[in-house]
Amino acid sequence: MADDLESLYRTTYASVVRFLYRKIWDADRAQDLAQEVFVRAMAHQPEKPRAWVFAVAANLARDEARAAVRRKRHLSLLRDDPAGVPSSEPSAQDSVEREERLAGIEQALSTLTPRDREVLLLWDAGLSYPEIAEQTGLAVGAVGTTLARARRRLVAAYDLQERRDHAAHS
Amino acid sequence: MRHIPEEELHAYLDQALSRPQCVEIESHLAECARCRASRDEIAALRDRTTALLANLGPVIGQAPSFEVIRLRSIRAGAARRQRLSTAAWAASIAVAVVAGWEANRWLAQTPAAVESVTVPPTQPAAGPLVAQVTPSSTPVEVQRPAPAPRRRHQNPAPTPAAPVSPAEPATAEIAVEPQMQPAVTQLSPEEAHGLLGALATLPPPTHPGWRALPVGPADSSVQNRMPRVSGLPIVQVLVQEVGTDEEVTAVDQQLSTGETIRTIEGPAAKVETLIAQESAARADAGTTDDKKATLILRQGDRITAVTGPPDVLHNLLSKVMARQRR
Repeated sequence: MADDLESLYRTTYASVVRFLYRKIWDADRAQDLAQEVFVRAMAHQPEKPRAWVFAVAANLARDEARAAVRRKRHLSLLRDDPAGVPSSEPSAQDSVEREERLAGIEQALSTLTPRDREVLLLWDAGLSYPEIAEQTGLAVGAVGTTLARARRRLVAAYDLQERRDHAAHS
Repeated sequence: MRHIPEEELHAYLDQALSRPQCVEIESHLAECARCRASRDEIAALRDRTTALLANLGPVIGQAPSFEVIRLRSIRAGAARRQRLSTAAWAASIAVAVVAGWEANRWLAQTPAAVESVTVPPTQPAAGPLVAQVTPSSTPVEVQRPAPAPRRRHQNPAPTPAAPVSPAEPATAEIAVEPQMQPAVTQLSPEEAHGLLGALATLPPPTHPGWRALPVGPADSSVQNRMPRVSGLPIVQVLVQEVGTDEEVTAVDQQLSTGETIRTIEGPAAKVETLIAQESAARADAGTTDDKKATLILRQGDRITAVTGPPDVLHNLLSKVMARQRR
């Protein structure tokens, strides 16, 4: 059982971190919480560890997503603020574009309803339809419908934003 | 003719449909250009979503060693047991020493010349002493109680907080949670093997971050301040700076059997990280013949970790268990 958990850890740790990161937008904290998820799994020895891990991750993210996130993001913005000498001068332009693109995707994701977003992120984290259904309380048949809507909305929101940005820049 | 609904095409592409459903869809696709176009469009949408989301997420090189999880799990377990003293955990023991605990009282009854463990004097810390053996490949862990460490015999430096006469009789009071079983008698070979997971060879003196201290008779004053097992020759002493004003000290000593026993002292987090790293390094190297167990003395935010042959530590723990049965 412990071995199962260890191999699950190896194969899904990165997915759990990404899943958490997309909810709380703090990379360090996402890694810390991902480890916490597996620490809890050690104690619980769940029957369906993969689904369990993501369910606990979702709960932790929900708890986290209240006050701390805004504070930390604010702090990281301050830290990233080029108060000192910018060390990566040559790639600054690339970096700015990348930041803009990331912000665009983040923004597009935030336009989805919580349920659509959850289903999309769970799917992207590698959960199956039945696992997603169990975690979200949806019928298995409704997962496809939800994913279809979520994908369309995400891409549409992102493209709309891109067009606006282009219009603003030109 | 009924066309395939969009959500079904998503489920089809997501491989979430049963075999008969797939067959049905595929036979329809074979003869319906409109649904084929729809499928291609959805496949592109699906790829696009995946590509967008792939941008969102920290780049993680490699997951930290699973030992990190194990160590955190031990700590979480210890905290939980302190809150819920009734929580019985199979194959684990928790020994609470109320007062008068002295490391040398345990170690005096272990084989070879192991007589005592010297813990550098630090400020007194609160809380019970907890010793635990876990069935997985985790260190033996002992949490240090309130009294300041006492030092005897080989190391008579005064400890202001709790001066102790060397002639003081055996007065260690040991309280054991009643439902806890002596783990030493319960360990299966696999479990015992699992115990050996922590710690292997000391980093060589040239290891980045470590510097070797000269060791010799002339340095006995330095040695007296070293965290170590008293009465054994010191093989080498390494020091690593942590932050601005803290350091980790590692002392290697030789047992009469020729094996080495090592003591590491430093800030808790740093020592735990070192143990996890070395354990991972051992696992990577596939080393199985160099069996070691680790005893961790936790005092406030510092840890003294003693690593040596597991029979020494097992013997020590069984003596404690024997004592509590009296």
